[in-house]
Amino acid sequence: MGDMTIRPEDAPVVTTPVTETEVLAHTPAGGGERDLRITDSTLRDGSHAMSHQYTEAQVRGVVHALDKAGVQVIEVSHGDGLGGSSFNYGFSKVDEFQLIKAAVEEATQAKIAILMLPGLGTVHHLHKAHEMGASVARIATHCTEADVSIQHFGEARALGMETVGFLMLSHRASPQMLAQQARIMVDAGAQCVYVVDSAGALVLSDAQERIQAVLDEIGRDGAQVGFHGHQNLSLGIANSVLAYQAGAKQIDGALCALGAGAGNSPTEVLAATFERMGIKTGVDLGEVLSAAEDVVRPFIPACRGWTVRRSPRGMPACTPRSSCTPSAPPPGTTSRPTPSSRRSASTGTSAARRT
Amino acid sequence: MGTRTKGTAAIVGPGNIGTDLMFKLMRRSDIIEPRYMIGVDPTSDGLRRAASVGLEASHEGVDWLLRQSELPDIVFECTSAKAHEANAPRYAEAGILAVDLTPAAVGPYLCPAVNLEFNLDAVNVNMITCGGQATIPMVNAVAQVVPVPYAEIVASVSSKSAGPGTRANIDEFTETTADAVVKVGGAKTGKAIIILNPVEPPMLMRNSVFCAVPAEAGEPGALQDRILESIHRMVAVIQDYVPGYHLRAEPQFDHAREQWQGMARAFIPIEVKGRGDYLPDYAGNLDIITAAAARVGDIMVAHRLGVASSWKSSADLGERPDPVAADAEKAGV
Repeated sequence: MGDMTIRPEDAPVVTTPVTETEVLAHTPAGGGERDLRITDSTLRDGSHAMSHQYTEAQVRGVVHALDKAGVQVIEVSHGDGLGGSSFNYGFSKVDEFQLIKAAVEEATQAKIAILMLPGLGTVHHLHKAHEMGASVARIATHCTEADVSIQHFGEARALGMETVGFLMLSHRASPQMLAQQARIMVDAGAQCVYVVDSAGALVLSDAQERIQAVLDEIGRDGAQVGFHGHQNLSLGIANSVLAYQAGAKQIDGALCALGAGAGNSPTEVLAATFERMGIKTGVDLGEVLSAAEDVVRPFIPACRGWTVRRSPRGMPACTPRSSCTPSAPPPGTTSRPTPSSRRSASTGTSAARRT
Repeated sequence: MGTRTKGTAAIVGPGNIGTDLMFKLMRRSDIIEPRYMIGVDPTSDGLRRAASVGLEASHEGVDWLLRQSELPDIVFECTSAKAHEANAPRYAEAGILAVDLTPAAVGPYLCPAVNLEFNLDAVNVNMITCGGQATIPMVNAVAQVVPVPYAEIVASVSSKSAGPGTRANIDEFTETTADAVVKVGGAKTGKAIIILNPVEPPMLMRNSVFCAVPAEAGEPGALQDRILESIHRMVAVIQDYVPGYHLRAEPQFDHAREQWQGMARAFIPIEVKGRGDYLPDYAGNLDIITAAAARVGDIMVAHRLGVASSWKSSADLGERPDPVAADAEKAGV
């Protein structure tokens, strides 16, 4: 037909509504045995802190330890998601699909998740990750741009993957705006939508109000809500607890707080805190502490973690770039005419992209 | 034919791109007469605007257009890749030339600054993407001097300038652009990234072009100077149809690195200020593709009518191009 303008019905929207049973089948977190599900992102968000130089042996070691500890979902991708390996974001040392395949081989009970950002990764990356055995597709957009993810949710669901929407830099949108954007993702096929505090800028009630608003909007469809915290103001754990209390069923962490900028909520501390509160995560505390201390701590760069430089950046709208990763102006740059201009000139292309 | 000196045009898709294109055609070409604006939504602002400047505007789609007793000589497709794939054979059957501004890539890629000498008998040509039009000439400028085994472009556009077609076609955008970085830009492999930036007030379209270049080109010297000259020449060529196109800062070179397989890197930061024909000047991503499409359409119609191109360059219109390289300090960064 000679039809032209894009209309909502042109998008590959999944018409079957998500049932609560389906979500429960996907996420044992809701099943009674566990109160929530922890997704570990050491091998994705943590990749930023590793300048995307993960080796296959490191990935196998981390997956083995997390899997043994009972962590149910382990995310593996370039820090900026599938297809992120680039001049702009840093090249991966090892092809991410090789790392995903290794992770799938290593896991006995954990599902392997991938992250992808439309505009950088495409459905072709998604298909390839699925071929490698990844079973959870996390699709991320800036918190006001959810409509670019519609085709990717449709495709992920068609592949039979579990789907998670990731609304990045959530502090930039009001709770109501976030809820509207979450609605777009759920209508497109997302089974869970995360409030992603990429800049670690949400302060306690800010996080809780956003979780509440998103849950009010999508909870009635049986979709879950998740929270991804960062440590810029050292509130990753506290915000995660508040998010859980507001109804979040999926919580992200990374071992040793490895992650972009000041790092993510440390998975081992999330497990300890929830255990202390009598909230069941299904994660064995001794094993996850060992995963952090014995597996990850030995290979992480010495200068990771909270620093004064990383903290105040949580307040304006940006995630800091660590001084110890090469994403700061590379030492070999011959700048014409001013040494600062490379940074200035590329600011616009990196600003809206932090996960 | 023969005696006609003007050809008629239809614009299909009255969104941001289609509406901006209408103004570009009116200003830049004497031989193309925009006659029809076609949409599907009766409340479309673009249809209203088109009617107010004398076009026949219909919300009844391509079916309506093809029912008209006077068909246009040329159609500009400003819808979505999927829509153009469906429409292209119908235009061809009706004998209408098609300039495709979606990433459908049915016809060959065209970028006026690089490959304007195309097969004039082509009935369907593709304008790649806005990001491709803004960056591929730079890849080509570098590739004219040194081999480019890998080029990467990052296009950042304001959220407000990205309409529903662009949003639904984000994969097609990156894939078509990357393909054209190779086929038109001359790089051996290519990658494209697009970022929709919702910052307020809206940002000007901004692009980063990275080219892997031989180690020697990463060091100051004659080879590097030749690359710089080639880039500056190319900027001037583009300014002939998009006066707001400029380097955001001088190109920069990184020394060769092991992790880049021993290659050095050229980095070219670009900014595109629009004329503000439809959306305000931040939407340079509209101008870069609509001006290119108008340029190509003018040539195709001239060929069909057997008349000379009537194209008016920025200089002809008295539009002063921006300085080739903006002063980064003054730009307030």
